Amino acid sequence: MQNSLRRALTFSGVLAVGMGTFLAACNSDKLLIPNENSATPPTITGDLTTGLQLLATGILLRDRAGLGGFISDLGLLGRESFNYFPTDGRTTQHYLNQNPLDPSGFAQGGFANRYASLRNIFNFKNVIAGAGAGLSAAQKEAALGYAETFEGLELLFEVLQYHDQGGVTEILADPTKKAPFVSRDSVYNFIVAKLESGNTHLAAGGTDFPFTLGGLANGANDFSTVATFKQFNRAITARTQVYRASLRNPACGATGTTCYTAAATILNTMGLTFISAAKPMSYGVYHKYSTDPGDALTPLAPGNNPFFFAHPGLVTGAQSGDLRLSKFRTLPAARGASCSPGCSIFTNYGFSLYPGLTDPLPVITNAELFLLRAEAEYFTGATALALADLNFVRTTDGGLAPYLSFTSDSDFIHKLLYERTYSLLAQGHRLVDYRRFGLILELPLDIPATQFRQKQQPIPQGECQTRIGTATPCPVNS
Amino acid sequence: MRTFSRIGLTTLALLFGVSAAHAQAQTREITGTVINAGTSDPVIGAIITVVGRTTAVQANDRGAFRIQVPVGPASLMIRAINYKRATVNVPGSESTVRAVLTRDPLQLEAVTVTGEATSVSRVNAATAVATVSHEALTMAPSQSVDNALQGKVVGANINMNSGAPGGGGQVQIRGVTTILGNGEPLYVVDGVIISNAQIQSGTNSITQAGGGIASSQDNASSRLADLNPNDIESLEVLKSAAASAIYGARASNGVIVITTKRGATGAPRWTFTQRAGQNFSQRRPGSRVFKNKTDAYNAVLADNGDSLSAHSIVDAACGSGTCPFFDYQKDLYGNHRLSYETVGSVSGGNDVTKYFASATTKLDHGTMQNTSARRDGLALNLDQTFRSNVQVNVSAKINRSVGNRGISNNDNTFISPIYAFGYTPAIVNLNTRNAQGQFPLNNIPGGGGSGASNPFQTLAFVRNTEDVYREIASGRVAWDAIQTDRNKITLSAFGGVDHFNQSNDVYSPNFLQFEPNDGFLGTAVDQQTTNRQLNSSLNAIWTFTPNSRLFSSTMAVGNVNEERRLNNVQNLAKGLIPGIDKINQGTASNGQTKTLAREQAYYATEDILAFNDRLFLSGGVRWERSSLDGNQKKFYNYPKFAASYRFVSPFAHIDEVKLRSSLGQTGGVPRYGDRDVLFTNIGREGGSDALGAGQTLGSINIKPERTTEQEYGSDVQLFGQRVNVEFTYFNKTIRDLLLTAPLSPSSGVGVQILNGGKLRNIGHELAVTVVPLRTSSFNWTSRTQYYHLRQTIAELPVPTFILGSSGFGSGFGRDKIAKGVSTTAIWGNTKRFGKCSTAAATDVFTSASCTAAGGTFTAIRKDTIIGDATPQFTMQFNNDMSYKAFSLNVLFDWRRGGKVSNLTNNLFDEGQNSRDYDDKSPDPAIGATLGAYRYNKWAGGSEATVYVQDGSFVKLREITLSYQVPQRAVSWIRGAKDVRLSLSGRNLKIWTNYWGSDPEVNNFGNQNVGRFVDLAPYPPYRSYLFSVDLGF
Repeated sequence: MQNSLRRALTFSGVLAVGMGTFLAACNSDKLLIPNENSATPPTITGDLTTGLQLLATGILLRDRAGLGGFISDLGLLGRESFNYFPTDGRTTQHYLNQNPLDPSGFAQGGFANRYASLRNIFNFKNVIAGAGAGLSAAQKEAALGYAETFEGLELLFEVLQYHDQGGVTEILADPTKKAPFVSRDSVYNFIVAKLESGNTHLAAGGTDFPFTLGGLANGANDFSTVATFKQFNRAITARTQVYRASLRNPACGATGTTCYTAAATILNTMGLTFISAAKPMSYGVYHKYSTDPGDALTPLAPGNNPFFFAHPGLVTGAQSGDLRLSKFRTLPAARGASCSPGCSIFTNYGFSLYPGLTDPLPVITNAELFLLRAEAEYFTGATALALADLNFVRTTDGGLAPYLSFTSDSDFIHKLLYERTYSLLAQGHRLVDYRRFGLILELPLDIPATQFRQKQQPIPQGECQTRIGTATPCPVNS
Repeated sequence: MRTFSRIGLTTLALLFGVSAAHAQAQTREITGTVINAGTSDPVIGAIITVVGRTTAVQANDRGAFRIQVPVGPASLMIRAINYKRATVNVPGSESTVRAVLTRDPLQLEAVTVTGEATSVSRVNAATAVATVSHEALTMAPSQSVDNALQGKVVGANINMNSGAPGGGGQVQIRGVTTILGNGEPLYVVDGVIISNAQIQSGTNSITQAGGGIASSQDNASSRLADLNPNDIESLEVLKSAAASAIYGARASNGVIVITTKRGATGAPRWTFTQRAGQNFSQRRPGSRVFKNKTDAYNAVLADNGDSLSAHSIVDAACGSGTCPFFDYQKDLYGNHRLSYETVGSVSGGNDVTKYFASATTKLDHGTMQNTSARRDGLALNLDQTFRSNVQVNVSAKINRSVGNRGISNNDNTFISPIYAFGYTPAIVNLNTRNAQGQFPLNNIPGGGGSGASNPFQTLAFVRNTEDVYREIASGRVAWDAIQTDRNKITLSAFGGVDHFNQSNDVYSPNFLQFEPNDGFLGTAVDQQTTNRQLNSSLNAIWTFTPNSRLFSSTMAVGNVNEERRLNNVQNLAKGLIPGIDKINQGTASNGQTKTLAREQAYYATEDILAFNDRLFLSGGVRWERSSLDGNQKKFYNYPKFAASYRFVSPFAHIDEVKLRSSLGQTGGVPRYGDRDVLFTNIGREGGSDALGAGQTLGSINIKPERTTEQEYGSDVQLFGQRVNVEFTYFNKTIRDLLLTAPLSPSSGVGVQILNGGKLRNIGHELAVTVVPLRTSSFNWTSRTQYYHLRQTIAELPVPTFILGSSGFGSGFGRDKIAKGVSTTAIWGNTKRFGKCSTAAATDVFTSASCTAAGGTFTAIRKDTIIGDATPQFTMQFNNDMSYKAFSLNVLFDWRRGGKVSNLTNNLFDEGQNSRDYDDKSPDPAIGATLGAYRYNKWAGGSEATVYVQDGSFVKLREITLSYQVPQRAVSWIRGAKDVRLSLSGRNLKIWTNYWGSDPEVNNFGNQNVGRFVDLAPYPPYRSYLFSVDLGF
C-alpha cells in the first residue's frame, strides 16, 4: 500500500474517533430538553397548594365553559332562543332544519367539554388520593365532596343534552380505553349516587376547602365555604331527583313518588339548600366572568354575542302584566338568520338578562328551588303546598295574580311550565321541561315545511367513530 | 456559531498535527482559454480538471486558465453551467489550449449533491434531479421563491395560499408525507438550514375566524419571502429519500438546496437591473346585478334580517326604477400602483480572493387597497484561499421584509372584504367619503351597525403590518490536508445561522364601523417573534483517484448539529384610547409560545464512479437523534443507496441511456411537546388561573416517522442531444406515522399522539425536452412535464377519524383519515339517498316536496367521500425560443382535477348576491334561479357536493419576451457590455370552470392534508413587469 494512502486511512480513522469524542463530550446533555410551554404532572405534585388551587379552578372553569353552549343549544331546540349568527346559516339550519340532526354538524356540541371536565375531576381526585400528609383528613373530604358534586353536575348537563342516548359515566385511568354507554336511567341514578356521596364527603369536610373557591355567586362568594357549597350540592340533587321522577325512572317507582319525596325532603329541610322566601328569586349559584387576562366574557351578553335572540312566541305568549317580560329587550329591527326566511322566522326580541359583558350566568337559582318543590309536592299529593310555592314564584317574580287551584295534572303541568319558562328564562330549561312531561309537540314549529322538532342533541360522530366495531358501541340516535 | 467553527478547526488541527502535503510529482503548466462555440465569447467560471487527477482550476472573466499537469500528454475536462462538458487532449509537446463549449439546452451539466459535503455531475446522478436555474427563477415577476418555482419542478405541487403581496405558498414534494408533522421541504441556503415558519399575523383578533389572538386563518406569509431570487445561482430539489437521506430526520418532505452566486476570477463585473410593473386582480368573485327591485329587496332582507330597514335601503338605492350597481371588488382590488425592483451586484476577484456582493430593493403593491410587500437586502459572499490548500467561504445576507397584507380569509364579523361583499348587495355606494372624510356605514349585512363593516373604510384604516429583519450567514473552512495525484483528503468545518425578528402589528382604530362588535372600541395586537436556527458540521472527505479511468472513490464522514429556537410573544388590547395604538391600555390579554429543538447526527457516505464514469454507486448512512423524540438519547439511522449506469450510444440515434435506481430512508421528527403528557392552562375564573388535562395525550415513546422510498428511472438522450427524456417512478411508504388519533371524547381527552399506520405514495414523473430547431439565429427548446401521484393510507391502527381544521365540517367537506382510501380524500354529506315513500328511491330533496306528493320522507344523509384534493395529474409546457437578439419564454401550467371546498360561493349564494344568481336553475322545484338552486340543494350542509367543486385549470403561468440590445446601440453607456430589455407577465390568463377566483388558494395556509378551502381569499392577480438589465 502506498504511503499516502495509508496516511489517508489513518487520518480518516483518527478523525472519526476524534470528532466522536469531542462532540459526545460537549453535546451529550443538550438534547434533553423539557417542554417549555406546559406544566407536567411532577410540577403539580411538587407544589400541592398551588397545584390544587389550579386544578380546582380548572374544574370550575370547565363547568363554566359548557354553560353558554348548553343554554343556546337547548334554547334553539326548545324554541326559546335563536343564534342568528349572520355569517353562517348553519348556526340555525343545523338545529331547526335537519332531520336527523348531523352528528358532525353544529348541534352535537358540548359533549367533549363535559368529559374533559370529568377527566379533570378524575385527575383532581387522584391528586387528593396521593396527597398523603399534605392535606388533613377534613381537607381531603372537602376536596372530594367538591369534586363529586361537579362530577354529578357535569353528567347531569350531559344527560340533559343527549337524553335518550344515555351517557358514559366512568372515566378510566387509561384514556385510550372505552367505558361503555349506559342508559339514560342509569346515568340519572349514577348522578344521584355521586351527589349523595359528595354530600357525605362535604359533611365531613370541616369549614374550608384546601383552595380558594373564587366563583359561584351573583355578587359575593356565597358558596365558597364547605357548608354553603353543600347547599349547592343539595340543590342540584333536588333538581336531579325531580327530573328522574318526572321521567319515570324505575328507581323512583311507577309514579315517581320515591324521588319526588326525596326532593321534597331536601327542599323542605331548613338550611339544607339555599331556598329562601327572603332572598330574591334570582339568588343562587352563578358562574362569574371578568376582563382579567385569560378570563372569559359572558358568552350570552349582547355585547359579546349580539346574535342571541328570543323566540317571539315567548313575548306574545306571556300573560298580560307579567313582570318577567322585562327579561326581554326589543330589538331596533327584526332579525332573522342568514338563511331566513326559508329556514327560520324573524324576531324582534332579545334578552336583557345579562346586559353587561361580565355579568354572571346562573347555574341554579332560588326560583328554581321553589318550582322544583312545587312539582315534588304536587306529585306527592301535597297539592295545597304546591299551589302556594307556585304562586309564590308567580306573584313575587311575575307580579301576576295567584292561581286558586289546579284542575288536573295537565293543568298543573302547564301552569308549572309557564312559571318555569319565564322565571328560568334562558337557562336551558324549556326543552328539558317540555320533554320530561312528554310535551315536545307543544313546542312551536314555526315553518312546518322546513323545520323539525328534536328532543335531543346527537352524540358526536367523533365519539361513535372511535367505537365502531368495539364491544362498547355508540347508542343509536333515536 | 463562530466559536464552534473555530473550536472545530483547532481541534482538527490538534488531532492530526500534520501540515498539508503537496503533490511533488513532476509537473508542467498548461494555459488556455474557454470560449462559447456560437459567439466566441469567453466562458467565465468554467471548471477545468485533469482527467484522472484531483487538480481543478477555474477560468477567469476572460475565460483564461492556468493548470499544472503531469509531464507528458494530458487530458483536460472542461465544464460550465449551461454548457456541455468537453474533453480536450493536450499532447505532451503543447502547453496552450483553446477549449470550445457548446450550449446545453437540456441542462445536463449541473451537479447534484450526494452528501453533506459531496456532489456528483448530473450526468451520473442516480436519483431524479430537479434543478432550477437563476434565469428560470427570475425571468417573470414573482412574489417569492415558492411563487417563482410554480410549474418548474416535476414531482412537486406548488400552490400559493392567496394573492396577498409577499407570497405565502406551499411546496409539496411527492405527496403527503405526514399527517401531523411538518409538511414543508427542508430549505438549505448555502449550507444553512433556514426556517420557513408561518407566523400568523393576529388579524384573528378582529375577524374572530378562530380562537386566540392569532389563528391559522390569518393568511400568513412564509419566510421564504425573505430570500432574494436575484442572488440565487441555482436551486436544486432533492425529491427522493435516497437523495435527501443525507439530511436525515427532517428530510422526508424533500430538501430544496439553494446555492447563491459567488465571485469569479477577473475584473469587477457590475450588473444593474431595474424592473417596474403593475398588478391587476383577475377573476374576482363578482357580485349580482339586480334585475329588479323585488330581487334586491329579497336579497337585502335575507342579509339584513329586517323588513323595514330592507325597504328603506332598497327604496333609497333604487328609487322607483332599477337598482344601481357598484363594482365594489373592482374598486377595492383596483390598486395598480407601480411596483418596482432594483438590483445591483458586483463580482470579481483573483486566484486567492473572490467576491460577490449585491443589493436589492423591491416594492410590490397588492391589488387590494393599502397592501404591499417590500424587501430590501444585502448579500456578500467571499471566497478566500490560503496557502493554496485552505479555502474559506463566507456568506452573509441581511434582509428586511415589510408586508402590509390587508384583511382576508375566514371571518365571523363581516370584516374580511370578500366575506362582507358576499352579504352586501352592491346597490349602495360604499366607496365614497363625505366632506369630513368619513365613509358611509354599510347597513346591510347582519342588520348593519357594528355587526357589519364597510371594507373601503376597513382597508383605509386597519393596519396589518409584518416587519421582519433577517440574517442568514455561514462560514466554511476547508483544508486540503493531503493532496497527491491519487489521494485528496479535505477536512472542513461549517457553521451557519438563520436568525429573524418578526414584528406583527395589527391595529383597528376605535371609529371603525365594526369596532364595538366585541364590546370594546378598538383593537391592537403586537406580536414579537424571534427565531434562531443554527447548524454546523465537521466533515472529512477522502477522494481516491487511481491513475486510470477505471475507478474513483469519494468517502465522507462527519458530524452534524442543529438547533432551532422560536419565541413568539402575543399581546392584545381591546378598548383603546382613541388615536392611540399601544397595548398597555384597555383590556389586555397575551400569549407566548416557546419551542426549542436540537438534533445531533453522524454520517458516512461513499460515492464510486467506475468504468470510465459509466457506473455510479452511492451509499451512506446517517445516525441521528433529536430532542423531540420520546427517547432523546436514541440514534435512528437513515441509510441510502443509489446506482446509475450510462450506456453510451447503445443504438443508432440514441446518444445515451442512463438507468438509475435508488433506495433510501428519511425521517420526520415529532412536533415540539408531542413527547410530553401535559396539563394545560385553560384560562381563569374567579381570580384564579386554571389547569386542566391537556386535550392531547403525549407519548413518551414517540419516535420519528420513517419514509422509505424506491425510485427507478431512466434518462435518455436522442438525436445528437436534440431530445432528452427523463422518466421516474417512485414508490414511497411512510411508516410509524405521527398521528393525533382521536380518543373517544367520553374519555375526557381529545387526541392521542402515537406512531402508527402507513402512507403509500406512488407517482410517475416524465419530462421531455426537445430542441426542434437549432440554427445560428433561431433556437427553440420545448419542455413538457407530467406528474401523476396516487396516495393512499395503506394502514391505520386506529378507527377512521376527522382531521382537525381540514375544512368546515361535513357540510362543506373535510378530511378524514381512513384506511384504504386516498390520503387527501374529501368527506362530506351527501343526501342523494334521500327517500320518499311514494317512489322507490328518488332524489327527493325536501320533506315538503315529498309530503306534497303524498309520501313520507326519509333523508338518508351519508357522510362519505365526495372528492379528492389531489389533482389527477399536472402538466407543464415550457417553450423557450430565441431569434437573433429576441427571446421568448412561455410557461403553461395545467392541473387536471383536484377538488376545492368553495365556501366563497356559499357566502354569495347565502347572501343572494352571487354574480350568476339569476342564471337558469337546473331544477326550479329546488330553487327558482341558479343561486337559489345551489343554496337550497346544499340545504345547510346536507348536500356538500354543491360547494365541493372541480379545481381544474390551465394557466398561462409565465411569459417573457426579451431583447438583447446590440452593443453598438449602447456604446454611449460607458462600459456597458450587456444590455437586455424584457417584458414579462405572470398568471396572465386562467382557463377554468371553477367558480371562485383561483382553485389554488387555501384559507388555512400551509398544511399537508386539508389544503383545499377557498373562503374569502385575497384574490390572486396577474402581474406585468418591464425590466432593464445592464452588465458592465
